[in-house]
Amino acid sequence: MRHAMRLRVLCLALVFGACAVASAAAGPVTMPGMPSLPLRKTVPGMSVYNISSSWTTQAGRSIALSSLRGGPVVAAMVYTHCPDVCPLITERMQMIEQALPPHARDAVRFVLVSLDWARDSPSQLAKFAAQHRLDMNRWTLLHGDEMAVRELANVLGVDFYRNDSGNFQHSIAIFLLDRDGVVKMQQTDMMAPLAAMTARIVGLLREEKGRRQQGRPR
Amino acid sequence: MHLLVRGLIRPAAALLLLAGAATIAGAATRDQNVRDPITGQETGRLTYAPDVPPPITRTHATKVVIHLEVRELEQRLADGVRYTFWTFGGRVPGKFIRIREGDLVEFHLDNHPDNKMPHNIDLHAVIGQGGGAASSLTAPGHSSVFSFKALVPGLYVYHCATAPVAMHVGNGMYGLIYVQPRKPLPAVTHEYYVMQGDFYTKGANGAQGLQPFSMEKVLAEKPEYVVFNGSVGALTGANALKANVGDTVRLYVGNGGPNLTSSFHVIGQIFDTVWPEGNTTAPTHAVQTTTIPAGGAAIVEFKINVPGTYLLVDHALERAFNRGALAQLKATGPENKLVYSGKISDEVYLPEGTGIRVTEQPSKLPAPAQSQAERIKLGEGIFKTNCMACHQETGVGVPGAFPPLAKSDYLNADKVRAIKTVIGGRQGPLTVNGSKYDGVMPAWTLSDEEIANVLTYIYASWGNSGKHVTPSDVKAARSGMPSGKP
Amino acid sequence: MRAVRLVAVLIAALASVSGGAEYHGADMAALPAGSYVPFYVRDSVKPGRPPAPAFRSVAVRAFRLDRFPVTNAQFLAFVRGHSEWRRSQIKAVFADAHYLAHWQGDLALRKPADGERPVTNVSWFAAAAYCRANHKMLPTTDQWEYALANRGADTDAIKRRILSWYSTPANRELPPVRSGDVNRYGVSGLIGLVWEWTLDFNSMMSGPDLRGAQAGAQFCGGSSLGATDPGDYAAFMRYAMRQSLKASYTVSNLGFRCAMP
Repeated sequence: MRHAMRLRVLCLALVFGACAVASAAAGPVTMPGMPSLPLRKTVPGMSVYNISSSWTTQAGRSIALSSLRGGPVVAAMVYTHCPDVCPLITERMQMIEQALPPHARDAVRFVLVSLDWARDSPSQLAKFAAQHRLDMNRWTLLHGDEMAVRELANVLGVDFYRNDSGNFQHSIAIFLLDRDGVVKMQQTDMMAPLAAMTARIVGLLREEKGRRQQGRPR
Repeated sequence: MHLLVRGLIRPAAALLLLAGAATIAGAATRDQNVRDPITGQETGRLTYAPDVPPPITRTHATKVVIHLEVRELEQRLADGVRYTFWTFGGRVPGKFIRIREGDLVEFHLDNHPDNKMPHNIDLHAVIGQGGGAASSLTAPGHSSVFSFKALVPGLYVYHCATAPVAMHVGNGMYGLIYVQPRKPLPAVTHEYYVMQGDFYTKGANGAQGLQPFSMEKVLAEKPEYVVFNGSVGALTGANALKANVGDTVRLYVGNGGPNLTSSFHVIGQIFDTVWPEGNTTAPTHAVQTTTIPAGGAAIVEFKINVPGTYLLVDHALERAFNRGALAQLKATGPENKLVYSGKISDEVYLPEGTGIRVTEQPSKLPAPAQSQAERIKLGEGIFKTNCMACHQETGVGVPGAFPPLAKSDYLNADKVRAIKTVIGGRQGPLTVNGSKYDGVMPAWTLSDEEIANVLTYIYASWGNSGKHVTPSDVKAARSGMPSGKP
Repeated sequence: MRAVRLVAVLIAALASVSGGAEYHGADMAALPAGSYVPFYVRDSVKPGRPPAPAFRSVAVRAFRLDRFPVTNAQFLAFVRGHSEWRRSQIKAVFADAHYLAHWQGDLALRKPADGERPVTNVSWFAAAAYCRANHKMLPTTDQWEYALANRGADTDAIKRRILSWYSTPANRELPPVRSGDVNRYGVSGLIGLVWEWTLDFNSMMSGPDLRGAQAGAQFCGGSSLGATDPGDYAAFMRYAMRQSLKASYTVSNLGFRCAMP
């Protein structure tokens, strides 16, 4: 009898243990300077974080996109061999970063996702980050395999074409996601005033602060 | 000198001011309409052809929300001929859209989930990328929204612009949008919507059953059908447009193409006013036929003075009478015989009694015959040209109609009488070789020489008596005929 | 003994939850390496110079392609083992409101005969997930077009059949997948059944208004597009259809099939 019982417990442990291991691997990236709000059990239906594929950061860590939950995210899809526009996108994101008031800046994550699954390894991404002097307290660069990249691009609506030599044509956009991964704004004009994006970010943070003060879990 | 210059300054300045104002006024429409403030919102009222939404009476610009649904449907193209049309609103042409200049339109293009194809829309009233097409490519079961401000008044075509455009338009995806000018056109009794289009079916015109689209024919610009309002007979018979005597009728006429230009005319009418090319600022008057290019439009007006069925046609007539480019406007009411009397009478018209046939004159008179054989030869030519038609090549005639010349008792009995018959013709009862005839033989304008030749030939042929006839015989016979009649 | 049976039951349960779908290797056609002239070709725009004429053929490596589009029955087996792709469970970001609208329920078709018809009302995400679960991938546009090109045989007949399919109204019941013609590669139903998703359906990069090539100034690495055969109306439509889609769209005449290297 006890033998069977132990077996049952073992089997159950196997099942639940598997889930525990999975979630441990996708631990949340800590957001410096901001007390974390309790997160909802599931993300909204339109959240980018419904994508379950795993990604590798420039530091070599394996994460799920949902570990970006908790605060606003400014994101774009680029690739490091891109001759002109991708550096432009990166600089613009840095300009947004600098244009934010300091308390807001610290609550926002800046994410670059590489379209170039073949060449943009984590070390290549680290090199790119160093070249652009990105503040790695706030920035994360991600590498994913082909299907993960296509899936994310299709969710965001980034169209791209990869030619025989492995270079890309892709649409240009910077996205603002809220703390649950829902796209709140998309900017395609790299010459537009920064105020539109920064105002929206500040607005999002204010909303979240308001909910916290009311004691509502978001 | 000094005073002269001074004297000219004021009128010169006035002229400059006027010229300036005139140029500014032309450009003011667009800029004015860009700046014109929007008050309120309404839902656009669209109508099926041939109806037009009522004139807009508001005097300010507003926001108009328009929903236009694309449906791919099998419908009648002609009797026994069916076709899969791609439509704006369920019919060809698409629904008529009426807005006012300065209006802000929120346009929803809805592609029905039962459709197979993606579609978009280019409205010629839109100033911007693709006329809206760049913002409206829509998959079935989905909807696209974009907005535009109507900057310039006029009557404009709209159409689907998804590649290949000739196929989308060739399947019926076009309609009209009217941007009513700030100062509306004068009121009329009836406004109607008519739109021409060319259709390219795999089968020839009239081939029955469901006809597929023919890419080859559209590339060659050879349509099988050219119709008003989407099918042969869409506006004829019970579906004809209606008006009454005394009415003024305004037609908003469009041409969707895809390929043909229309020569638009209303048989029995003259257009009192035409706003050519769909503009609403510079009308012309007293026009019989107006050109409407593919992807263009025109506004025409005419008054009904007398009743009747007026036919709207593309005056490239093969299209009207063989391919379907024909519509009817039935006008009822009292006659006005002064304007048009109809047929007053029907009479016989025969100047100077029997008709005189003028023979073909040779460019040069032949030389007189030198011998009998020559006379016969020349006579044969004249016989074949003038007589053979009735009396036949072998002189046997046509029983009951034309008497024979072969072995003819009438002919052989009296040479002079024969000559006189050719000179003056003959009508009334006649018996030849025992058969009765009662026809009309025309008088022949032939020279003495020619009559002599032909009669000699006849007498020498088919068992006749072989008499000789000379020009002097003919001259003598003629002198015995004061009026030229026997 | 009871313990052993318990373990067996648990393992079986785990296996079904992980969605072991059948491997359809047998139902695939093998296409040899070759090349074809794609309908739209692009040339990089070099500043100050007009684009070079572009009738370039594209090389395609040997690959395998499903002989038939995926059926409702096959897709049903997939969602049985993958509950996150069921109609009531699917996230809004992965499919719009018409996802599997033609089914009776999450795990039920309207009638048994529907099982053999091509599955439609599926988004790119759902189609990609199905292929992945079968250890395959959606075919690229090049692979799909290469299969359609049929080694250059019957080009005009193919165009006419496609145009004829475009002319028939879309709300007729779809025929079973095995009713289509088989082409020279052994692939069936590329024409006349349904539109089909491809892996890179949105890689045209010329904006939705396909009238005339665009210089692509708004795109990184812009190029201009030229149609190699402006008289090929059938191809225009096919590319326009792909251009009108977003990955989350579901359309009642759009299905898919899978490919493998």
